[in-house]
Amino acid sequence: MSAVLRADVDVVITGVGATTPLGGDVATTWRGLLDGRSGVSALTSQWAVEHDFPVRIAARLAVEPAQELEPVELRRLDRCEQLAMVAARQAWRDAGLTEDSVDPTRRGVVVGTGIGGVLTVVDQHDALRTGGPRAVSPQTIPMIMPNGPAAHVGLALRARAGVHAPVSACAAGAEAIALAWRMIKMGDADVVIAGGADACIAPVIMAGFLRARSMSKRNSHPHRASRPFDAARDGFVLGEGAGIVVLERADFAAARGAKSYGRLVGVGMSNDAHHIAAPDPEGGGQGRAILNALRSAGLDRADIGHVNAHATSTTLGDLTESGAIRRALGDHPVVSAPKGALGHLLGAAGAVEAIATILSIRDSVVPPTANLEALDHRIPLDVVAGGPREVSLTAAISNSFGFGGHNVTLAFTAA
Amino acid sequence: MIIKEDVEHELARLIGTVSGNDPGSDVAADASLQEELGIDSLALVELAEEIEERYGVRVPDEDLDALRTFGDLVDYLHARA
Repeated sequence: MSAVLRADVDVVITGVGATTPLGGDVATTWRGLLDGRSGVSALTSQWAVEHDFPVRIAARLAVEPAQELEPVELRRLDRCEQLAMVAARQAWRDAGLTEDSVDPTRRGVVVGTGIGGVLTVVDQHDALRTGGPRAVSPQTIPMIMPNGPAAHVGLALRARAGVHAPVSACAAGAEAIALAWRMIKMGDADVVIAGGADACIAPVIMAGFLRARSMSKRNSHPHRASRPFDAARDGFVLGEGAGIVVLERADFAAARGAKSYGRLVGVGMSNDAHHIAAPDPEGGGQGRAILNALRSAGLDRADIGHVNAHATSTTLGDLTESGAIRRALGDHPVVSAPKGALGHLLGAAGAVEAIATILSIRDSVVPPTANLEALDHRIPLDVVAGGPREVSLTAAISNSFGFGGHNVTLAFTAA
Repeated sequence: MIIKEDVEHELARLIGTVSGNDPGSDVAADASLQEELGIDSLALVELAEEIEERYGVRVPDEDLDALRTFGDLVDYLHARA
């Protein structure tokens, strides 16, 4: 094992997988993003009605995982683990990988989550209250541990180079991809399956975010509720999903004849160390993540033609990020915020949005920011609205930020 | 009184549900729960839960370690049902 990043090792993306509120796979999700379609709908769960929740909207999955998993997997895996598994298998297949393609000891997994198996916590706590300890499932701990999604994917794909699980709230999916990149750059693995998953549309989580006053209450118009950078934005919309990419050492991928979507050329990470749940309003930490990514990629700010923004549709968050982007890169990048369509997928967001960024470079098109009707006049950026914009891209970045002050920027170029 | 063949059939079904691998209808008495039937330590607890629900026979945790084969399970159930 080497302890340094090797400049002679390139990392390519050879497979992608996702299950999101826009679709059960990457192709449908990507089409939904380009169409500016919303994955948000009215939340009709009994609990939302019973407790008179002030928020009655959510971005639920378009395709239930039950359709793609074995009955025993549905029994043993928490919903967030199920989503990770669905997306990971898609990515694995998409990369054309088989058991013989790569030695298991050169195969890694990094899958993060923001919240983890909270639906199981709630279910099993209910079981405990009504039936005592014997009513609690023996599978409970593997279902609620935050490394569960990573561990289940690692087990299913026999990844023996290392299985890791970054837990950094809404930056987890992007951090997973960043750590996977490092595993390959350090010579620890040839193929790493990386991304994030979250599924926590549950009363206690909704109530918690509500009490933190960060959610949109635009119940009358679910499709229009998530509106990053718009002057009338009023908070984020809770979503669920998973995104997974296959990262691969470029020469290894080439030797087995794999197709490449693009290259992950650099990663930048930082922390605000400012507040547990609010971004540093100066955006210094976010700006440092962007600049760190450029430095590690050897790119100049002029090279970055597109920014896939984290923008969650909160008043302060979007404003802070726009300032950080403008100061770090200038006003030339074409900016888009996929959460207008997807809602906020928490620990999955960074991974799904990394996929969108790669596809923007590949297809030379940037999706519109859904629901952006009137750009907040304080936001000095070129944000795509209305419809997709065709633009030839050399390099693009994807930002992801999380409660806890975590900032991650991934830098991609064409294959 | 429960019929032995019916019990074996039903236990095989429950094992399939819990492990995810259908063992078929004709399981050998000496088939190892762990190695041959895919019932690991967690699945064994789930299986006990299924048995309790199906037959009303409670299998205390202390008894689980002695259940190593399919035959052990059938005999255990017969002795208590």
